Amino acid sequence: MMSPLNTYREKGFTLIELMIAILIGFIVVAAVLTIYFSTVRGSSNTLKLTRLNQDLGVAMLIMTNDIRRAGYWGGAVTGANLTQNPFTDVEVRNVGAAALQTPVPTVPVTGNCITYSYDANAWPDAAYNIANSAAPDAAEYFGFRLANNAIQIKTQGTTSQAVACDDGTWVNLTDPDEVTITAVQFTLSAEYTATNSSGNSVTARSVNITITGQSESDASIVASLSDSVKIRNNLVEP
Amino acid sequence: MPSHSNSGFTIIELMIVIAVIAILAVIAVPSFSDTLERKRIQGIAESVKAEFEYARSEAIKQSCEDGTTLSFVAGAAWQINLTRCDATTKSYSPTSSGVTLSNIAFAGNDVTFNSRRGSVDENQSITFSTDNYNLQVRTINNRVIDICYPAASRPIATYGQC
Repeated sequence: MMSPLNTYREKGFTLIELMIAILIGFIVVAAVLTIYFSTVRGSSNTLKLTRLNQDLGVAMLIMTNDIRRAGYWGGAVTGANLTQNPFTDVEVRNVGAAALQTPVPTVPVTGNCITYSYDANAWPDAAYNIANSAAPDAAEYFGFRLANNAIQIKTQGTTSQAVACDDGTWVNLTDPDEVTITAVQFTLSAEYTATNSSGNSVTARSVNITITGQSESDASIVASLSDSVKIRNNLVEP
Repeated sequence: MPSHSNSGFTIIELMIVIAVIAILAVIAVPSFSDTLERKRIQGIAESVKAEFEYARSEAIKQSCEDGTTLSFVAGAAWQINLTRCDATTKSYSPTSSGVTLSNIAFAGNDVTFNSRRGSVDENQSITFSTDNYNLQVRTINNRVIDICYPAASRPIATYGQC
């Protein structure tokens, strides 16, 4: 159809112009979305790593502070025979295995379970102080182990099977729904041995702890933590 | 020569395009504000969990008989107050977060962390709420501090159901 008179030209965008505009629009939107999603992913990773570090840190703090108390004996008063300390054993082994060496290793021993005891109810009531060579109460056997992808804490033992790693009551110290603990390693070593004024051999012991965990929801978020504890109560042997 | 060889879009066509964009935006904005709401309550729950862990580590570090206590004040202007055993305190109350501390299950509205081995009251919780979401910060087995969503609430993927 012909128009006899074309007095004005309709103005507007051509298809080409519009497509170029749309293309530029898409590029801008894609760039913004990329930045947005990488920010979201970054902050989610930061959050996971923070939670992981926090959980490992708290677990490590509880372990070091409690292991440091191992061997404390309320009955160790003036005149007591320190070789009779019933709380003196600290044992390291792998869960399910026999104790690697007791009561103190000549070479450092390594395992994913540590058991020990201390006189938890001795202070401030001296009536609870137990006599030489009496056995500790069931509630005074403690320990830490790796089980079911979590660090577990022993809240209660039994007096018959004092220090085994499958004995007593163990509860999770870390949350396996949040953090998967992949490795726990306790290394018990004798720092030095000397002879005291009573002619007994005194051994200072230390424990090295390494724990490795990963975020339960993202196996690429991994953290490892290491700490060392000197056991304050030395081993005294005849 | 065709008279309309160089025709562009009319105002009507452009307005239809704008209307379509507006409709899409109306659909997208609520989902975005939903994401923001979820992020907000998640952020609060995470930082409160961190407060719990901090209280526990303070109890263990200071290592004295009374331990560390967290006490809670419910409501929109909620507060979490930490009292260490040396009587120093720390208060946590985010302003205008839009998140309400809606329920406190801890007896006496407080919880104490044992200074020897860090144990807490078992299986207790506090619940935070926004318009559409609820999250609980709870204690499991005397030890583990956990975040979960109540069964009746809308799920948040990162967490398990309580």
